[in-house]
Amino acid sequence: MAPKSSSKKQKEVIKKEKLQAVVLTDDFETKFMPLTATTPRCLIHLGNVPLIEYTLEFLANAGANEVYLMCSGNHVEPIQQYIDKSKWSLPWSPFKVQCIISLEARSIGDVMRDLDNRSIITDDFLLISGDVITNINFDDALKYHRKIKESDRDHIVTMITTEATSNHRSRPFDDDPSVFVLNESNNKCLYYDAIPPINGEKSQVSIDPELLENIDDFVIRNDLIDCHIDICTPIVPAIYSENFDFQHMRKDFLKGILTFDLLKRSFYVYIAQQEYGARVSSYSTFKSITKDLIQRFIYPIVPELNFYNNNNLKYESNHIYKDKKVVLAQSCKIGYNTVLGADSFIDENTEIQRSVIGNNVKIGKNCSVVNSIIFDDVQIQDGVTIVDSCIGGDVVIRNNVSILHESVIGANCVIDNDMVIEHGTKIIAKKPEEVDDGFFSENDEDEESTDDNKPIIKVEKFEEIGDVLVVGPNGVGFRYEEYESDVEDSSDADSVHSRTETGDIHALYKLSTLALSDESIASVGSSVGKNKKKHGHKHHDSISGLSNKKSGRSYSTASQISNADGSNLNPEKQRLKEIEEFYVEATATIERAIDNNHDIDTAVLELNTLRMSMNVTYSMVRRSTLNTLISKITNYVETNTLKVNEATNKLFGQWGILFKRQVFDKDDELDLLDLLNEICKKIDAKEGDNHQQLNAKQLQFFIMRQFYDLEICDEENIIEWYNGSQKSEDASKKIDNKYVEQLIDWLQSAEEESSEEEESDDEEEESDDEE
Amino acid sequence: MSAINAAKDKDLHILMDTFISKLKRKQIHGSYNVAIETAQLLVKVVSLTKWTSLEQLISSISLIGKRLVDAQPRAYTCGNVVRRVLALIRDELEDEEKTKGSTTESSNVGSSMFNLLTPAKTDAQNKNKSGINDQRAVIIQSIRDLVDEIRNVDQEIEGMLDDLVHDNETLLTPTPSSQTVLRFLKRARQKRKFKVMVTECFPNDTAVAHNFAKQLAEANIETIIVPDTSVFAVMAGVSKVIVGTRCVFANGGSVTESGVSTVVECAREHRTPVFAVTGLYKLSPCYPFNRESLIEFGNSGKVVKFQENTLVENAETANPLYDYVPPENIDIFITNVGGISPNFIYRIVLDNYKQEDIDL
Repeated sequence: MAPKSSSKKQKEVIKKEKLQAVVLTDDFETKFMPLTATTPRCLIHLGNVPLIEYTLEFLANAGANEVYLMCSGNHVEPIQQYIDKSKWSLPWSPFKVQCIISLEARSIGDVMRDLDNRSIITDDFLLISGDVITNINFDDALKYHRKIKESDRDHIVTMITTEATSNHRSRPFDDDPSVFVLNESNNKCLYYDAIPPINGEKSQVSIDPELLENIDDFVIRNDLIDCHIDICTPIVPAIYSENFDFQHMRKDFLKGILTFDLLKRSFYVYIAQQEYGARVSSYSTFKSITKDLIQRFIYPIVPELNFYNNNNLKYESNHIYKDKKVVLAQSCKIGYNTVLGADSFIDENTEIQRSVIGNNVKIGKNCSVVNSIIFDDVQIQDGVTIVDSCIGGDVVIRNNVSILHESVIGANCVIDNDMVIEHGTKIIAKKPEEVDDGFFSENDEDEESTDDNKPIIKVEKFEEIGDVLVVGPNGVGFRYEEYESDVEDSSDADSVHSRTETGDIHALYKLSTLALSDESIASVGSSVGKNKKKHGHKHHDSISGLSNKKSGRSYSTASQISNADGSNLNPEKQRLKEIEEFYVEATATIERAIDNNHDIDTAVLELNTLRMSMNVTYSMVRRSTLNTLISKITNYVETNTLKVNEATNKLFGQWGILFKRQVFDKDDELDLLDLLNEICKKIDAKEGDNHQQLNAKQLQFFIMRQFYDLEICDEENIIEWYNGSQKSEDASKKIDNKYVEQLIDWLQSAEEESSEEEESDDEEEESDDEE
Repeated sequence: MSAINAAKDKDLHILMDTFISKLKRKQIHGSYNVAIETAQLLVKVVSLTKWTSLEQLISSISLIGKRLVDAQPRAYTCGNVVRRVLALIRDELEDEEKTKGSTTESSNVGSSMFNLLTPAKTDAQNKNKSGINDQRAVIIQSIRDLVDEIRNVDQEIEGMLDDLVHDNETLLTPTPSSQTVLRFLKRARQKRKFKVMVTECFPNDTAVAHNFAKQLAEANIETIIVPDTSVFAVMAGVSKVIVGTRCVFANGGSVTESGVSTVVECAREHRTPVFAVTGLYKLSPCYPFNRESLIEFGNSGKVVKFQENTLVENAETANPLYDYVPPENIDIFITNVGGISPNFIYRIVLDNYKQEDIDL
């Protein structure tokens, strides 16, 4: 029969040029919370079509034969179900789709390592993010790749980009727009950097001049949209396996290899001319790409293609797209650039502009929806205003609600009558611990249980109550804060702090008006450090198991969150993030050293490395060291293992030398003593009378004596510090500690009569024991 | 036996779905290609599907036609070819009934309306297998004839050019993307000497226009590329306007490339005759009730560069790919069955299509 023979022929052709494609369905970031709480990121609808459809459609056009969807985290099942039901798993699908599940993966690096383990990849393959929308002619890119491969044997990746301008709306501003340094003649990528812009402008790129050796002309491109479509050679997953610390596809893998000269690998950039390609990486790109789609900049990818399920959108002039059974009241106004989903209903006097309305959405009278995206099955009652926002599926918005710029309402929320949702608010239906991305849920639970002050409230209870201030008395939903797990335990004072961290680019501009003292950072750092104490051990185990190296890099949970999300902050903000990160890292390092009995040199080396890599002062190093040691002592005392003096002797006897490498001159000594005083006072204030076992004043005394014994602090300096503090006007510096006074007395007398040293020392100790 | 049928069904599904997704992805484009591919698909459908009566075949083909039309509502030739094939099958059905009519009861001869109300009588028992196979062969053959007709459209049109083009004339064409127009002009050059003006067709077909001019120049025809804006100015010197079409509707209105509407409006102003060249397969039995829905909008990035952020952000851009030309602006349609006045198109439509198939 004619058709059969022709299909056989096709198969033969296919065998010759098998194109494999790997789709990354998750990018391990939380930018799309709270929407991603209920839906996997690649199933979020853009123009009423799940994002992954665009990617798969592109792959179908590109002529892929095997497609592997890399799934991880909580979102494996929905994706798999979706794919099973979709047209892509029908027998006449243009390619074979297979979901590869790597539950353990916590980063793109992990996914790639998993891919390497499975050894699926046989030839050059297409690595694409599951949220890419493009109309690029892939054949041209593939030809370019093959041509380059012939001339350059070290070529491993061709990255596909499209041309835009530096401030283009579809470039991911809040996701570090990428800067490529290219060899002008052949577009070989020499250097890559991603720097968050300040007020829309690039801050700077620093390039190691060695990278530019032997290069005639190079260009710095800050106008390219990185589509995250890569043509990779099979060696790429293996490189990830060799470098187990690579997490991110660009920031680690690309930049790491380019700046590390031992690996002679080369990357090339393919710049698609007059074609469109962009990745939905954040809310801002989500909105702008939706606009591009509706305004037909991605032609022939347009909404009325209807490649998803039963969509049946029809185009009308002014870029209005209507699906089946749209009911519009006579007086409603539908403006430019609007998509109306099937069975949607718009009532009298309602105005809709530049928006996407999902299927089965009901909008009441006198509403105004501008520049917004409304997902399926949303109920909006009368008099509602929605500007520049995203409304998740099944949300109910009651009468006269206003939802202002850049807000996001997660699925299943209910907003009660007359509420005003402020600029940049994100609302989630359930507390994020319950519906977490699957990232750190384990740790979150631990934290909850160790937190004694807080009553553990069941989520069901919350559901009934809701966050009244945000969603109203009969509403359902909570304000969603991006760094919830980090800041949760720090008190109200930090709430301002955390609110600025919602990752909203607009909120960042307001940052300059916020006065953030050094104090508050320190308190965040120390409290986080304390909380992490119990997990430190666990972390270390997992890391050492992986690397079998003493100096294995550890990624504590908090630092990973900030790694992932801190990137979209402006430099000032970023600095704060880094400092906090440092405290966490340093604490973890010291704890590890103590717990595993590392030798002191290793610990010093690690701390030093950390200090230099984070570019922090010695004072911060001292603070974190002191904090950790004190918390260890506290631990010993509270568990009744050792007494205060024994614990101090034990820890400082072994680890006090650390300070020798952190204290160099008089100023440092004074600073150290100040720090000690500050920390002890804090403990004193906190513990109050509850803890008889631990007397902070005693503790301060013992530590000071250790400083003296270990010759970290000179006696003259101690006395000078004491006198200076007593004279100072600042109440917080005042020393109100009889033990310290005794010590000072003794020091002063010792200066006069050094021979009496031993005797008085004994006396002191006896008196302490009596207490 | 049933296993074979299931396999056939699956094959059919695969055929259909790949074809539809190819249409959606614009992997098949150009009305000529779409028409040929559709006809070939229908040949496969007729040979693969299991049918016991012609009525059954008609219903299954019109179902397929509906799906195809839904897939790409603006590739009109797709629907036209399906309707042509349906008309062929109906002719076959009529023949069958005529031969049978004298011997058997006349209940089946009724109008289409009547057929709607009475359940289709299955004459399967009466018919033997060889009868169906004969019919199958006949239908396939007539579809093949249709394909041949589509393939030969240009030659037949070229046959008429002696009467149309004269020496030392200046022709203007606003549709450089039309292969029919290109071949027509090249062929005319063999007998006549004339000058051709081509509109630039910004933004979508500029490159095509340049290529078109180049090809004409290579064929030794004096060619001028005219900016779209100066069409009115040059119109005074033009003796004929030749337009290629995408689809001609039953009222004589047609859908062509964008920009043509202005050109023919200018021509009307100057009383310059406008010829539209078209194949019979582009004739659609539908009426253009909603003109807005006939026009496809293309890539806005061709009008405003996507790189221009401020414009992209603040301006509303639209890039229509087609224009609707009303019947009064076209003087004559040159088809493979001869020159037809726009107000006579309905008659040709009636000859080639059946009323029942207008709504698939």
